[in-house]
Amino acid sequence: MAALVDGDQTAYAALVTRHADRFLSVATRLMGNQVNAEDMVQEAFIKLLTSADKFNAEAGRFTTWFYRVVSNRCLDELRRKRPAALPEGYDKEDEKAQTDASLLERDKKNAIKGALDRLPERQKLAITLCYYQELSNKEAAEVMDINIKALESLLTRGRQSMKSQLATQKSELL
Amino acid sequence: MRTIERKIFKEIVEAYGAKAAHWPADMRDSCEDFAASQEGSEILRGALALDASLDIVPAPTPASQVFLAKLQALPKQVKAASSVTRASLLEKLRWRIPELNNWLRPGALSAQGTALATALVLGVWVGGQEAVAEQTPFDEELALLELTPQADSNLDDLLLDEALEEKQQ
Repeated sequence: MAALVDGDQTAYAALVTRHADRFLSVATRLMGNQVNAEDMVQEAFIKLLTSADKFNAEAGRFTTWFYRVVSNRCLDELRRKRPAALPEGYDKEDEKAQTDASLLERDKKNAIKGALDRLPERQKLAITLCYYQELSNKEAAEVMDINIKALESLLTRGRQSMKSQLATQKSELL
Repeated sequence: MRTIERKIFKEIVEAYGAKAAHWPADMRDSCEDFAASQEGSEILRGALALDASLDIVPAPTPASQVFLAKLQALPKQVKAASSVTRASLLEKLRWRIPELNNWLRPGALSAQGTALATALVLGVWVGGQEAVAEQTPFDEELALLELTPQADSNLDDLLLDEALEEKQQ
């Protein structure tokens, strides 16, 4: 990061190669699709280039700081953007080509993804960071700028909410 | 070995799930010990189902080479954009401040320039006139002062000449 602040382009290239995937991953989970996630990550990298000097190496690791930049950008966008209407018939697929088993599997995946997407943003971010990105509780709390107790509270409520959503959907499906 | 209470283990599992890898590092060993007990496995059972559901959600596709190339190209773009930004700062100000916008229109620039030049010339001329106006009374007075002695001396000379002529007669 020090090299990047000094304008070293090799340092920037190394950062992208090493870390772009993990930031794109968290952005995709938050945004719900890869196209929007790429936009968010790209904007975060532009911010990195224009304000790398704002990163305080003594205050924490680069990845923690940049997770915060990316996730804040995603949350801002989600709050700003109203969900666009889906085109008519977007969910009509050629169901004849699929077996019952694969249809059930697809429905299950959609139900789980839907339950995850319906969580409040902060709960979703907490689960994404701790469960999918496998950050330690300390790191995830730093990314979210909260203490560990608050993080655990978000995780617990998020998981409980998912459980109850999935239980309702399961009973509806059956 | 540190032991933990059932309540704490339950709280940890409810927050972090059933996978030991996700548990807080400083409590992982004692949690694993508790998880091996019957009480522990009962608590884990509830969390395992949700973990399995979360695992079904497919992992996002890794960053494509095209996207990575786009990110790698950003420094050049940011550098180019910053020079354009400097050049367009005035342009942005034009649209933010309508008065400035009116003043900076190409057509208006010559008119404004002419008006400014006229005002400048008028200002200098008026200033000059004021300076002359301020100087005139003083100069006239000075001239009078200069003329009066001269006139007086001329009169004296005339009177002297007349007196000499009378004496001679």
